[in-house]
Amino acid sequence: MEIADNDVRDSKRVKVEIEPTVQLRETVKIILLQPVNMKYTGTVTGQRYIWNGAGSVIEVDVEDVEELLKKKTRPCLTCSGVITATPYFELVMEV
Amino acid sequence: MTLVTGTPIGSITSQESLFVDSAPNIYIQNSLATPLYNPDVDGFYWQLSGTSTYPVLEIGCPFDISFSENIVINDVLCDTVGLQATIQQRQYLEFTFSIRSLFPLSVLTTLMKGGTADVDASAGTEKFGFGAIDNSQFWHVYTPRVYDATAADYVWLYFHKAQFVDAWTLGMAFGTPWELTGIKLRAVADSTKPAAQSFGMFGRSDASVI
Repeated sequence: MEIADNDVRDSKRVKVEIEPTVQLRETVKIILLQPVNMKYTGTVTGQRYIWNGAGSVIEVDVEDVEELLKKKTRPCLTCSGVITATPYFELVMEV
Repeated sequence: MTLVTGTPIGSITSQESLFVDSAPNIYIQNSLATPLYNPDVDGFYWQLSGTSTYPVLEIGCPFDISFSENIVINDVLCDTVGLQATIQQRQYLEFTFSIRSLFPLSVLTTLMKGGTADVDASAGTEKFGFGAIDNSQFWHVYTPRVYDATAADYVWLYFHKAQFVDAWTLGMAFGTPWELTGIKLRAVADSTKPAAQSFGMFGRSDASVI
């Protein structure tokens, strides 16, 4: 087998740029506030999210968060004073 | 000579000419949550503080609300003189009510003793099943009633450990809103609380007279 010297080997080197196949996406933690098992499909990413019961927290793609946080229960007009709708979700603020 | 009125002499406490009307609001919370005042400065355990894990549920549009108790009564009879005393033991306290607000199903399932509601916020559906009743589910119950909104005077009842019991009926009459009737919220003794308030408490906040 012929062994080329260093200069010849260097001239044959090809610079290859590797495209990342999995793009890391930024996520935030979202907590479910209602006593239900909740399913939601992200309107931007199409990702399926599932919460199991009130207080459960999962990571949600930041692109889906805006629409997700708009989800609220219907306002209760027959309840005491509080006629504002209750949100289903809340952003978990990490200290 | 004293005026003959029939009024007793000495210290007398008479009741106020103040009347509470209309129904209280009914709030419930999983009894695994600790009450807001746990206890308060006077040693009473009451009020609710909703958390993400244990949210407070408000029962919407209740009607026909009544509050009662169940006690075991046994007379102490002596064959010499007859009745000498009556022994009473409190079994439970009970709220009976009906509702016209049926939604969301996540609250209704609690009243109908169904399973956990399954919500799909994308499809816009919520569902719950009727299966075996979870007899281990207990609730804190808080029922305040503001009787003077200007002065913020109110009364409240609070119970540590209550269960939805008995069979309900969902009425679907023509031209009237659906009604879930026969809901019974039965408060039993909570052995972890002081004996004098093992079932719960009755409170009043009225700074102008108390």
